[in-house]
Formats: sequence, C-alpha cells, structure tokens
Amino acid sequence: MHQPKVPRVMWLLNHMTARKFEIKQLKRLGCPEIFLPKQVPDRPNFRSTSIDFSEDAHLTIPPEALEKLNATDWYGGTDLAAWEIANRYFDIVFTIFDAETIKSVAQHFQGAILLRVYGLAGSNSYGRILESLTQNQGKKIVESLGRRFWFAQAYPQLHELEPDYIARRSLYLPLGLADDQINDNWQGGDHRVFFICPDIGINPYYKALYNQFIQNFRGIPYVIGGGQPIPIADANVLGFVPRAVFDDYMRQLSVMFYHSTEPNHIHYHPFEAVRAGMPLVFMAGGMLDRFGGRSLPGRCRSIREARQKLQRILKGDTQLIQQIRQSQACLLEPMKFENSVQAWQEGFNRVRQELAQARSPRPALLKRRRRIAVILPVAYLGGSLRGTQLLAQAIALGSQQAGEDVEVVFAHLDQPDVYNQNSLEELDASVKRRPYQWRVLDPQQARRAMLYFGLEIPGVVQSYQVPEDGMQQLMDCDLWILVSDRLQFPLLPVRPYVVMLYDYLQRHDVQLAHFLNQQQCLDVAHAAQRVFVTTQFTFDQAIHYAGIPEQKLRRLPMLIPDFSAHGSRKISRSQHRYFLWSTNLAHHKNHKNALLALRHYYEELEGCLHCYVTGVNSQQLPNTSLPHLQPLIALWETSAALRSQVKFLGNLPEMSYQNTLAGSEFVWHPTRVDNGTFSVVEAAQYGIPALSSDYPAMREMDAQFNLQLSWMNPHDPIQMGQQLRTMEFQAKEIRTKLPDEAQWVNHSLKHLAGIYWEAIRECL
Amino acid sequence: MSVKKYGIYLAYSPTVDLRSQGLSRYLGEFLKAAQKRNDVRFVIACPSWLSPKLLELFQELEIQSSCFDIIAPSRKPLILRFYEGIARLRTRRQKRIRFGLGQRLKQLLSKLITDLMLQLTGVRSTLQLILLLLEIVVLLPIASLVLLLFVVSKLVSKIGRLVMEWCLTLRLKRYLKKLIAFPQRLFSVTRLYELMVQTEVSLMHKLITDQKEILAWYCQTAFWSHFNRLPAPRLMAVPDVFPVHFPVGFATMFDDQLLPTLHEIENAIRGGDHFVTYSEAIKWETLVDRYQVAPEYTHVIHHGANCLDHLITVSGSSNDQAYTKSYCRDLLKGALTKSVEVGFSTAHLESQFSFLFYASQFRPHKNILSLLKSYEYLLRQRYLKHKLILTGTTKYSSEVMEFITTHNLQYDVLFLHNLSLQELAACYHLADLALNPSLSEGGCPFTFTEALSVGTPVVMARIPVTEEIITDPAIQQRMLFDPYDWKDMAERIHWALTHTDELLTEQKKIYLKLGQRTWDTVVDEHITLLDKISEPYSKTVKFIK
Repeated sequence: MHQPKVPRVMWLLNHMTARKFEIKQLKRLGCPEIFLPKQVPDRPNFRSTSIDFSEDAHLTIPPEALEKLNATDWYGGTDLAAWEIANRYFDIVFTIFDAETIKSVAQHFQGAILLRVYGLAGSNSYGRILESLTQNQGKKIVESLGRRFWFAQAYPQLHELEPDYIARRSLYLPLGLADDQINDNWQGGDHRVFFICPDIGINPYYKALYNQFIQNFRGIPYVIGGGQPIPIADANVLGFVPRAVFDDYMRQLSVMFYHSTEPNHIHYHPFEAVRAGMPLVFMAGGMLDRFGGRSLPGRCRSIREARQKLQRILKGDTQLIQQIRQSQACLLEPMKFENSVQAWQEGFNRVRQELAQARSPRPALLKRRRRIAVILPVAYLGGSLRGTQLLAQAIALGSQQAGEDVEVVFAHLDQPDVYNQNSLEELDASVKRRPYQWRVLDPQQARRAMLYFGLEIPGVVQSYQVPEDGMQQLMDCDLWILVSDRLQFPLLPVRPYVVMLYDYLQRHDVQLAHFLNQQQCLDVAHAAQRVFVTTQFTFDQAIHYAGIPEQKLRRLPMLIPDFSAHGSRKISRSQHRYFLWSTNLAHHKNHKNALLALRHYYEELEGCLHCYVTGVNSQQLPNTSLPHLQPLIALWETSAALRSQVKFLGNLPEMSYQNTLAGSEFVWHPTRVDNGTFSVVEAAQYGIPALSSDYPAMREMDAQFNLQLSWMNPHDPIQMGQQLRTMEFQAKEIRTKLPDEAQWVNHSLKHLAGIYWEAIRECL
Repeated sequence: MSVKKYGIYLAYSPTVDLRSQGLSRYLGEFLKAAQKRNDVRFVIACPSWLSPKLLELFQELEIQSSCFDIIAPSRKPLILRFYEGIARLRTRRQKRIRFGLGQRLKQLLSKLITDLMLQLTGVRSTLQLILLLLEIVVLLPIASLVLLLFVVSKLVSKIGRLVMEWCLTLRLKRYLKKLIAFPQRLFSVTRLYELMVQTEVSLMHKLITDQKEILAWYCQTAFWSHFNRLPAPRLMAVPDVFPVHFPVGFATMFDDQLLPTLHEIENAIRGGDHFVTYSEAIKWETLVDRYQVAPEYTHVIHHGANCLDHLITVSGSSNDQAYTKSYCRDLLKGALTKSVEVGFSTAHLESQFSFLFYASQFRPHKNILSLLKSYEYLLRQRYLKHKLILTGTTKYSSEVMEFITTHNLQYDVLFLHNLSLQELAACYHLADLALNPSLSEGGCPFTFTEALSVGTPVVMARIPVTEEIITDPAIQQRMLFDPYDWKDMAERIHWALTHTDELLTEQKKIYLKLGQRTWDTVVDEHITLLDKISEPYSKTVKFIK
C-alpha cells in the first residue's frame, strides 16, 4: 500500500466551527493534504452543516479520484470504488458518530479511524448507543479494528462513561476556537437577554428547553437565536439570520444566558459571547465549571439566582456587568488554539505509531482463501434447489472472473435421501458441499457463545440457531448467504450474513401465512447485512411489507439454468395435442380456479387440447386429503370432461419432463402469485410459448427474457378458460417470436456472475 | 374601540385528556383565530380541573393566553384531589418497584463480601490476618445491618403481596383498578361523581352570573344540558349525533356508558336556544328531522380549511423539500416505535415504505371494515405494494381485529394511535394517498384540506357533507366513491394511485379555493351569529371600553 511520509487525512465531518479549528490543527501538525466531504444527507440533523471546497486545491491525488470522492456520500452511502480510492491515497479518517457510517468505515477503510466525539447529554454513552444501533455488534466492530481505532474525544473526561473496549482506545484531541482572540465590541444598548435555542419546532430537546426558558424567565425580555426550520409563533424568536446580523445582536443585547448543566457537552455560543465581550450568565454544574471554576460572577446555582442576575444586568447594574465581563475571559483559555497544540501533537503521534504497528505484515501462512457459505436452510427441492446451486456457482465464477478467487461452500441439510449425487448433479465441482443440521442453542448457551465470541450483550432471552456441520458451525466461512428467511429462531450472530429473498408469498397467501412465523421471517431479514432479491416486485415488498431499508437491498438479475446445454430433446409421442401445467400441492398454485377454468374451457368453450399435469405430488390432486384442496375433489368428481381431458403425470424425471414439454402446444401457469417460474423460461428455450397468470414477477420475467407470454387473470376462472381457448389458436404464431439461441447468451451464468460477485464483495 | 365580550362554555369531565379530543382541536383553531380580533374578547368558563389543561393546550398550540379570560372555581374539589393523589401514588409505586431497594442492598452486600474475600485470599502474614480480622470485626455490624435490612425488605414485600392476594380477590382487584382508571363508570361512585360535577357546574354558573357584560355564550358541543341554564343568549354547536343513525353499531361497540351521554345530548338539544351545525346534512337530518328543531334557529357554519403544512415544512435549507420529507420520516419512525397496538411490532420498520392513510378514531360510522375489504382486495388481487395506516385503536373494535387476523393483515395494516399533530402531518405528507370512507360526518371531513395542505391527494366517500363542499361534478366523479360498495372504493383507490399527479393537480385547485376559507372566516361568522342572537340582550348591557 501507498505509504506517504506525511499522512493524508479525510476529515469526514461537516461541522463548520469545528472544521475551522481542526483543519488548522492538522495543518499545524504537518498534514497539508486533507479531504473534506462534499455531499451532505438531506436529514434534519445535517441541516446546519456546510460544505468547504477550499482544501481540494492542496490535494495531490488524481483529479478523477478527487471527483469520485467529492461525489460520494460518506455518511452511509459509500460505495466500494470510493473506499478503494480512500485506501489508496489516505491514511487517517475522522468520522462522525453514526452507526451506518461507522459500519462502512470499519468494514472498508484500512487506515486509522478516529471516531470524533464531542460529548453526549446526561449519562448516555457512545458505547451504549452503538450497541443499540448495531444489534450488539458494536464491541465486535470496534475490536476488529484493533489499534487502528481511536475514540477521539474533544474533552478529556468523555471516555469515563464508555465501556472498556472504547475507553482504552481514547485519544484526547481538544476542541477549540480557530479564532480565539477577544474582540470586545460589546455595547449592550438593547436591554434583552440573548438565548440560543435552535430547532424548536423539530427537536423535542430544544422544544422543552424553549418552554422551560419561557416559564423560568417570564417577564424578562428576551431574544432567541438559532435557525428555526419550522417557524415559531413567537416574535422574539429570530430564526436564521446572516452572520452580520447575528454579530450585531451580540454587540447590542445586554446579556447571554447559557442554560446547560450537562457535564459532557457544551455549545459554541457561550464562547462566542465571551469572545465578543458580552456578559455571560450561565448555570452551574455544566462544562463551564471545568473551564472557569466555581467562582465566576456569571455562574448561577439556581434559576432564581439567574433571574436576579439577568434582571440586574438589564437594569444596567454596571458593577455586575463589569465583574462578569472582566472575569469570564478565563473560559476561553482551554479553547485557545495554542493551548491545544501539544495535545494534538501527542495524540497524532500515537495514531501514526500505532497505525504503523497495525500495518506490519502478517505471516504468509496465516493468509487463507476467503470462504463463502451458501446455506439452504430448508430441505428445498425443485426450483429453489436449482436456484441455490446457480447462486453458488455464480459467486464462484464471478470471483474467478474478478481475479479474487474465493472458495464457495454449498451448505445443505444433512439428508442423504434428498441431497445426493443425483439431486446435486448440476453443482460445479469447484463448489464444495457441506451437509449440516440446525442446532438450537437455549438462551444460556447462546449467551455464552456470544460472550465467547466477543459480543457486548445485555442479556439473552431467546433461543438461537446455528448450522452444525460437526466442525466449527460454518464459522470458517467469512460470509453466510442464507437462501430464504425461513428460520425457526434467530441466527446466532457470529458471522455476517446475507439473505437471498425470492418472495414474500405470505403477504398474498393467507393459508401459507397461518403456517409461518412471519415475525421471525422479518427479523431474519432485518438482522442481515444485506438482502438480495431478483425482482422489482420482491424489492418493493421488502421495503413496503417488510420495512427493510432500501440501502440494505440489492436487486440482482435472475439466474436461469442453461437448459439448452442438455442437448436436443425427443418430442413426446402423445396421441393427443396437449398443454402442460406444472404445479405442486402448495396453496398459491391456485388449483381451484385452475380447475374451474378447465371445466369452463372443456364444458362451455369446447376446448380441444388435453391438459397434462406434472410436478411434485401433482398426481395426488384429485384425491388429496389436504384441506385447502378439498373443493377440487368435488369439482373433479362432478365433471366428466375434466376426468377425461386432464391427465396427471406426477413428478417426471428431468429428461422425461423435457420430452413432454417439447411435445406440448404451450405451458400453462395459473399460479396466483410468486417470484416467477423457471418453467416458462425453460419452455421458451425449447420454443414453447406460455399462458401465464398476470402478476408482477411474471411481467418482469417476460420483460427480462422476452418470453412473449400471454396473460390471464388468476382470480377469474371464466377469463382463464377463455384465454386457454384463445391460446389453442395463437400458440403457433407466438412460437415464431420467441428468442433465439443468441439472445439467451446475455442471460448466461458467465454473463451475470460478475454482478453477483460485486454484490458479495460489498459484504466482505 | 369598544370591545364586545362573548363567552365560551366548557365542562369536560376531569378524566378527559383535552389534547386527545378532536373537539379540542376545533377549539384550538377557533381560539387561534379569535385571538386576532381586537373588537371581541372571549371569556372561557370551565370547571376548576380544566383550566390548567386549557393552559397546556394554549402552550402546545402557541395560543396567547393573555388574549382570553378564564373563569373557573379556584380550587379542585377535595374528593377529586384525593383520587388524583391515589393515581399518583400508584404511578410512583410502580416506578419504585422497578428500582427496588432490596436489589441495591443485595448489590452492596455482595460487594462487601467480595472485598473481604479478596483481602483474605491475599493474606501473606499473621499480622495481615490480625488486621483483617479487626476490619471484619468493625465491618460485621454494618454488614449485619445491611443483611437485616435486606431480609426485612424482602419479608415486608412478600408479606405485603400475600396480604394483598389474600385480601383482594381477583374481582376486587379488577374493581379497584377500574375505579382508579375510570371512576365515573362505576355504578357505586357514579352518583358521587355526578354530584361533584353538579356542584362544580353550580359554582361555574355562579361565576358566570357575575359576568354581566358577556353578551352571549357559545358552547362547541351538545354534551352539557346545563349550558341551557345560562341566563344570557346561547348558541350551541351540534357537530353530530351519530348513535341515532348507527344504533346497532354503537350499541355493540360501547356498553351502557354511552346511554347517559346520548340522553344528555338529547336534553341539551331539546332545551337549546340557537344551534350551529357544520353542515346542511346535520341541520336537516338530525336537528330538524330527528329533534324537530325549527330550521330558522339552526345555522350552518362550515369548517375552515385545516392546514398542517406549517407543522412539518422545513425552510431555509439547501433543499427544503428533501429535508421536509426526511424530517417526516423521522417523525413517522418515532410514531412506529411508540405504537403499542396488539399484534405486530412496528418498531423495527424503516419509514421508507409506501402507504395509504386514514386518520380517524374507530367508530361504527367510520366504515373501517369496508376499507379493509377494499385494501385486502387491492393487496391480494391487484398486487398493491402499499401498507395501510389507521389511527384508531382496535381496543373497541373486535371486528376489525378479527378481520385483520383472519386475513393476515397484521403486517400491512398498522394502527398508529394517539399521534401528535406533527406526526399526523408527517403521515399525511408521506402517504401516497389519503382516504376517508366514512359513512357519515358532521361536516366535510378534514381529510381533504389536511392531506392537500401537505401535498397528498385524497379519495373520499360520496356523502352529503362532502358534496356540500366539493361541488364540481367532474372532480366528484374522480375522487368520490360509494362507501357502501367496497369494490367501488377499491377501484377509486387504484385509479387514484395510478393517476396521482392528475388527481393532485385538480384537487390543488379546489384546495386553493377552500384554503381561502380560514378559521378567521369561521370565527367571523360565529361572531356575526352571536351578534345576531344577542342583539336584543346587548341593548341592556354596556360595552366595556
């Protein structure tokens, strides 16, 4: 890695006053090259920040790199390319306290990370907030950074409230004023109190402060400064004013009142008042006590005392005014630039030394190939199993294409009768199989495991599950990819994981929902580092149904098997012309409407084609005992047309299915809703058209693969029947419009693997 | 300039939280506008328990209290203070339980023993051992005392619990619990409660009688028949009397507690003088048809536009629109976090999801079940991506809860009860579409102006009160649906969601027109009416200078 003698610094904050001081300190330390962020999120707490381009001129990095850095949102919206540039050219990052930002910096930046903190209200601690915002991963995140992490506190006592893992990495970099000279222009002719209280309309803390001030100082004339994003119906509230106007108030108003009794946080404006020579009346017990002792004449131990002092000043008590003005200059001492230089120098030396230590090369024998586990949590077969194998292969192939060869492990339940050489024949040899069983840890076991792992957990009240492979529970893998969210308990948080979500069927299928622990499914996705989906429909459901933040979602292209690789097929020699209905016994397959449609097609519309039904357990349809299929039996028994025209083939072997498919007129897909079916893609590859239910995922498939699907309303059996009849005549013509072999290449695994690998890389 | 004085009569019971009442929002808007009139001063008469709540409401709504006079009996009745004391004690006891003394004593004792054991295991010489034993001798009495206190505190709490369980059967406990929560609902204290209210009203009336210069009194609701005993001209607002139109719904949703209220309302109307309603529909169908009030004594004053934009619109930033949206998302996130409805926890939801919004309590005329049917159809058959946010609580509507669970909607239909005004505005702003399927309302639902004020289109039920205000047949066609036909409702919602911009553009034109009718206009019209009804009376009263 590039290691310049003078470190380049990224100061990833946008606070204006702090910037002036800290950039000046960094320059004094001999860091001429400093990057400042240019994109600020549209969030209310960033409203008063500002952007500064002035440091760009001093950066000697390539212009295109700077352009990329300037276009990046460093507050959680940072992509890999930006981090690659940051790692190439910079050594030190100052970052704000924001869970998403910290996670991103910690995951991707390889230099020193200085978490810049200015104190919190009350006895709250950064550690506590971090744990709560990261689902108790804070300690792990911080400790994983080792000597590269610093708790860069602006006041020396801040670490005292922090947990040990943060406190021991504290670094005192004092905050001060870039311009610390007293500029006494105070006149005080306006006999009102100046009180700074921004954001009253949007911030409950300031709203309460405002109400308190009005109540405590009733009868005393006042002016309230500070930006007000939402106007306040009080003529004494100024709202935003230009700097010159603000300075004028500082000159003219008689006194400033500062309310805070917070021991660990202080605002800038009391110092601005002192600098401007304005008398400052403040409450005891706050940080100003640390700065100026307990004997300053402006200090008040009670509201009553504050009222008295303010009233005396407003009445022109020159003796008190002079006493306050003359004594308060001492408050500026710790804020003076020169007084902070030594602490910054010492702190910075520590950062540089320990960064060098952290960067010392590790023994080569400890380096190993990264490993990714693709976990199938349920004993799925059919399309889900096929999709999981494709996913594993796409990751393996994508990493190879990118020259970052990783090992991919395909973890499936240890059920040899289900998962064997036959069912996994399509799995590439480079992907290793690993059977496992779910192991449930009771709350006590889970708590112990998490503590051993190094998580800071307040208490564990529920059971967790972990994939038991008889070795290290897949912990040898750097990332877990869970195919579906169907877990009984939360996953033990010992590895980051991604969820591959194909659908939220339970949102649309009430029957399924009743058999599912929906909350658990949602929790699994929420706790994941990323959620991958393959359709816009599922993407939307993830946001609007599951409430997953958009930043966590990645939409990836659908992977489809290369059916053409199986070679040419023998067309099934059937005595009838038929269409193919591939189904199983699941509720969302819409059997009742399908059978009603078929009856209408045969009995009313005199449809000529036979219907061949295939799929797992589909032969049980006319005599199943499943409650949701009971209405079918009556239909079946009362319709001679159905009994003579519909033929149940059951689950056909792969080759037999393909032969049957190749001989059909078209494929019928009457399912109510799901994430789309491969059967129509497979059919199109054999030149067979399809009549499909009209729902979003199928529309998306049609658009992506140019399937030329014909549509029907799955909730209207009459219309479904009519569409079947129409297809009898149109199928032939549609065949001519289906994509040719060249068009399928664009959807090949080889073509799409890179996209999958990029998505995975972000999580490593 | 001579200043006329009019009175506002309020007599809410002590257990009413003024800020959660829809009527108090109306009162707030009324007073906000009234404070601008220099020629009229309003005097508010209320019971002793209401005046501090009124001041809180003033503060929350930024109303200048100096613009009004409040007259109320000076101190709360002793019996009420006693009840409030018990309620406070109960809260304090709960808090204390959480930070128990026993726990702290246990920690102290454990620390003491650990320290001694540490020292003991570190002993290397006889001298050290002697010193340590001396220390133990000194500390032993303290430790014993701590232990004793711990044991005693445990014992006391256990005995207390046993005694409580022994003394109070489950039924008695429930009875006491209910007594503290709703004293007025219990038969045994009902009479006591009524007597207390009666005494308070008499005191109020005494104070009111002394206010000779008040020309007329206005009461914004028909809850209190004793309003009719005031000696000056009286104007009573009758927003609605829904139970008479939805008898079965109200009979099954509420127990007998509503009967006396309805009885009181009917008495108030029958003994009333002049009336004001918010719509022609209520005037004719309720007052004239049901209660045989003479039409000439009933006046219609429509609502003013209820605008919410000032509560959430951020200004002075680089991108006000984006900041406003982001601020609203924060507010919604806060509302989701505090939602305590049974069923699905909303706390973990990010506030990025799309949703439809209907702000209303759950009452029989609100047509919630039809809305749910429409929504379920749209979700399952038309693949709508949106959630549905309602602001009622399912506590009083088992049918709603049953529908939700049967149709597995608990993850899609969210109940955000008790929203603050800012949160309400945020929900309206973030919603893709605001809805109002209500079968009947007192006036044109606020939904229209509230939603449009923050840039959200609306579809509503085709009911007379709405057609009184939204008069253009073309726009009626686009935004109104038959509330008795859930499928029509669903089609309208679906159409609106697929034609949002078109609908919004047209509705904004109407909103601009309706927006001109502010609460100032409403107050002016009330004052004109008060002038009119007090004209003969005012000749005998001198104006104050």
